[in-house]
Amino acid sequence: MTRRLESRSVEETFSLGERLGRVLEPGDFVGLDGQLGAGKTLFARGVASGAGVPLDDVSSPTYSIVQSYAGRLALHHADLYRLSGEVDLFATGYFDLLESEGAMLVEWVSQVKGARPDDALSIQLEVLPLDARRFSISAVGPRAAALLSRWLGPAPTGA
Amino acid sequence: MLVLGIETSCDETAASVVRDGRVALSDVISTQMDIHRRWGGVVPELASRNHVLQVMPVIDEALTRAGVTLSALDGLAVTSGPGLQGALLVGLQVAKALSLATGLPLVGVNHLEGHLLAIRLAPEAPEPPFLGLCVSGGHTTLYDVQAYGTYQRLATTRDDAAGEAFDKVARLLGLPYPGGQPIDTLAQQGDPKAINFPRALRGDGVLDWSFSGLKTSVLQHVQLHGVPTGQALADVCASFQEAVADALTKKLVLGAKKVGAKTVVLCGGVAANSRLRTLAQERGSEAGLEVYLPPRRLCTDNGAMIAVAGYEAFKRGVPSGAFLTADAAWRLGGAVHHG
Repeated sequence: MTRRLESRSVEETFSLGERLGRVLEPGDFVGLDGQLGAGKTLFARGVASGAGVPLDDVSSPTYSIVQSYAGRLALHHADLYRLSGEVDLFATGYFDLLESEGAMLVEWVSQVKGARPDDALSIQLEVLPLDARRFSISAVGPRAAALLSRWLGPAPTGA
Repeated sequence: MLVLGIETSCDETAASVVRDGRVALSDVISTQMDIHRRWGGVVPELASRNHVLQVMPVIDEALTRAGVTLSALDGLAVTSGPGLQGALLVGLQVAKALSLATGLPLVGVNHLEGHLLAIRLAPEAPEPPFLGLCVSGGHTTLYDVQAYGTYQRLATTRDDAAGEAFDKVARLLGLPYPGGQPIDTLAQQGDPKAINFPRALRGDGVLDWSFSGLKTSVLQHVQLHGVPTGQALADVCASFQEAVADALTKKLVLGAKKVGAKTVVLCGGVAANSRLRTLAQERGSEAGLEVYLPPRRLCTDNGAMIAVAGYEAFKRGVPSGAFLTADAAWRLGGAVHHG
């Protein structure tokens, strides 16, 4: 089941991320997709902030590929934009991080097959006119389902 | 004093012999750009594998061109972070092996410290203290270089690095990777005032940058008007480049005022951008600052800048690091640590 949300502004996108960051637990996996400029890094900054990471530490990991932050919990912020396959991803130590303590927040997760674990929350961002964005959110697996309901409350009935 | 500098943190395999931290006797760079261009970026696994192939020939060539053998050297310096873990390890292992085999002392150098000190290789070069603006694909950070080895981070980007913005905007415009050179070239024919892209300066006292909103604005422009061609393309390039150069130089001058700096230095790959160079010179002079722009070949990653930082580390007595490890996330600023 996919839940949809709309954000009307940069601030709202950030604060949605912040709310997710506040309820993030070690072992959670959040994958982000959406075109260039969709707001993935902005949203990710919100998540990091909500997880207690000083915002000074958070930037786009496009070049570094993985950045690890120490907040209320360990948060690994990755960006697969420049990668082309699982072998590359392996070379970055990504799969070690998946096994480690801490939560994962991964931009361009669909870029690399096999980057998304079996239990994952997936968020697709879409550009609407001006600063508005559409979020399509789906949870696969019990851990992601629990995270989603901590974040946005229980699924609306009848949906 | 002769120091061999080795750099493998990203996509260049580089080595150089530098005399007294001032004169590069050789400066060899084997770029992997052709390999990475196919992929639209640096590919970590490919990068590491190619460093393995290149590193010994590059070091040999650096020694040959300098006209020296290993026994003539006084020390070794290697980039130990930040960068791609696998790539860093290649240079590090070679440096440690050389150190072990020859007995030469070895220091690990922060890649950004190397960039900040690259200006020392120019004929006219300042001594610290100065303000250093490091702008590249992975970094956009302003440092207060208080003394060799003492760096204070004053400002950084909140999202995309400036070079990353160039690469991503190039992609939106259908231009090749890396995006800096093609945008710079097209911008020469364009009108920088054609489109008023946002500068995202966020308040007067704020030193940090944000380039993500700028990238989004270019995206929105392309969505509205289609991917531009001809004069329209040149105008988008010029306007985008102007926004980046404007934001970078305004904060550079503001930072200099804030800490009372008299001298500013640009470094990193984006420091090769012609508009950034001109504007930095203009605004710096207006503000009574001495502006140093490294020659373009010193802007990109190279081994010579690592040798300079290594030389300065040896001079202030940093001990040889037999147990050096790579630190992919090594942040410069505050205390500099040497392993």
